[in-house]
Amino acid sequence: MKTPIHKLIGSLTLAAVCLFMSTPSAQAQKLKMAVVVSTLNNPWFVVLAQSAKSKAVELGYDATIFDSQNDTAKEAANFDNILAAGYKAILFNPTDADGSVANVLKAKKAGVPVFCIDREINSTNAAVCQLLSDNYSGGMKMGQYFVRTVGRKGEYAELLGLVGDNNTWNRSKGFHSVVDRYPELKMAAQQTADFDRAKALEVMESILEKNPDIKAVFCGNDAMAMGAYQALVSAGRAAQVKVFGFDGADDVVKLIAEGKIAATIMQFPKLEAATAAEYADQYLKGTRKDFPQKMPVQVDLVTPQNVSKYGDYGKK
Amino acid sequence: MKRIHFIIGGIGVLAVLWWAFPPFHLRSVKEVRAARAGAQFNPTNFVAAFWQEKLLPATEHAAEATKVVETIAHNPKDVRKQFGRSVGIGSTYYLFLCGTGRVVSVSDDSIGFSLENTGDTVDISVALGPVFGNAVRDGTGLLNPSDYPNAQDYNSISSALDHIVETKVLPKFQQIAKVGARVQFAGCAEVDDEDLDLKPLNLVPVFVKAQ
Repeated sequence: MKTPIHKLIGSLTLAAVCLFMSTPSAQAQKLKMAVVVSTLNNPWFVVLAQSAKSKAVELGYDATIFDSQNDTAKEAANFDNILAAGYKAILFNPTDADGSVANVLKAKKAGVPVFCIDREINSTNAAVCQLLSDNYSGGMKMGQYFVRTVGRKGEYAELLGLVGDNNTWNRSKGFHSVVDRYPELKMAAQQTADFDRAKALEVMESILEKNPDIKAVFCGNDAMAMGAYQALVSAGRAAQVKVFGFDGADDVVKLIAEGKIAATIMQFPKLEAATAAEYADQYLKGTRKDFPQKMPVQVDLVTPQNVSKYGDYGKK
Repeated sequence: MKRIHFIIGGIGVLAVLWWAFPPFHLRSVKEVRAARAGAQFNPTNFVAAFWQEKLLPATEHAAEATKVVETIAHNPKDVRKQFGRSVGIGSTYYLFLCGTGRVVSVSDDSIGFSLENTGDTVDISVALGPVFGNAVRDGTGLLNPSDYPNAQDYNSISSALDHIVETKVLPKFQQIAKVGARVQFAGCAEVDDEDLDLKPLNLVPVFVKAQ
């Protein structure tokens, strides 16, 4: 039989439990997941990092983004801080395919699983899984479209990304596996602009001065495509030189729809980031441990013909 | 006097340490390049062995082309589930199939053949010219991207496989492909979930033989 005193004690107990649940000590029990991104100085990577964080939060983790500023030393410091702070998993977008391996191994040694997103590390026994855009196929698709739209002869330029990043070479090699089959299609210039819009603007200005006859430029990412396009607009050459990008950034997709940029390759940063967070969650909960080391993620060619299907860093 | 001895002694100790533990080694650029080349993955050699030792023997276990084409005709949504292979996340999948067909069309761009004994319907088409794509690498299930620390190595396999198709298989196919000729074949096809029209199926052949 419940007396008013019993009810009062029950209510007070319930209130105490609720109060305890809302205290910082209870909240601190939430597991922490780190998102380490190569740079936040590029909208595409901002989307990648934010998507990873959002998914981790949605899955019940306390998630924080760490910016490596394209610097392996900064990245190493981020890993030290993350391991010292007790994070349970790392969703990792590396700065350097070789240089970042040590950081992942350090985390592995500390028992913290790492899931690579978008960029590869040259190791098959450091990360739990690497979710990587199929950049080579993207380069091939772009190469085929490039030949169809630019033609089988003429001069073109290429802007490369960071030379230490495998994505740079996978995109470039995929592209060249096609265009190099047409000997009259000549690469007049190939220079790195480090995936950076401002550097691409400068490099493209210099290329245009030295190579006035180029008909097209293939850029290893969309930030560089925007820089190259800006240089062409300033030089009054935007109508004569076709720009091809890679990423599927929103500003480039919009310019494709307006007929100002020829094409890009849509990667799916939101899908990659969310999948990595889900994998980390499954790993931490012990519901899945057998992940493939390399998990290629398909990419799509975006052209004026199909651009209406794409936007917001994915397929509509 | 003592100071001079001390300096000479110090230099001597430094010289011995320098000899025992040299702070750097001089190597010729040629030597370094040769060492790197030795450590590098050689896709041409790898693919030459893979083609003979694994790919051609595996054609015996490829899906029967008649069954694949029949499924395409009646249950296209089941093709991926029944016969498809995919690597990673995406709407693209690959088929590895074999069979016998009758050549019904030959042009500069393609060879078409029917799996039926009569009629001119092209069930399978083979494009002539440059070969691009990952159909052969990813279609058989014999190669796994997780086995390669650097994706560039895995990708270079694709190029080397396509090169063999283009330089060895297609020229042979062109020689035997006369309208009416019967050919035994095996090969791979790339399909996307969004491909609504799979007739004809575009095949990248790895093996062809006149019957």
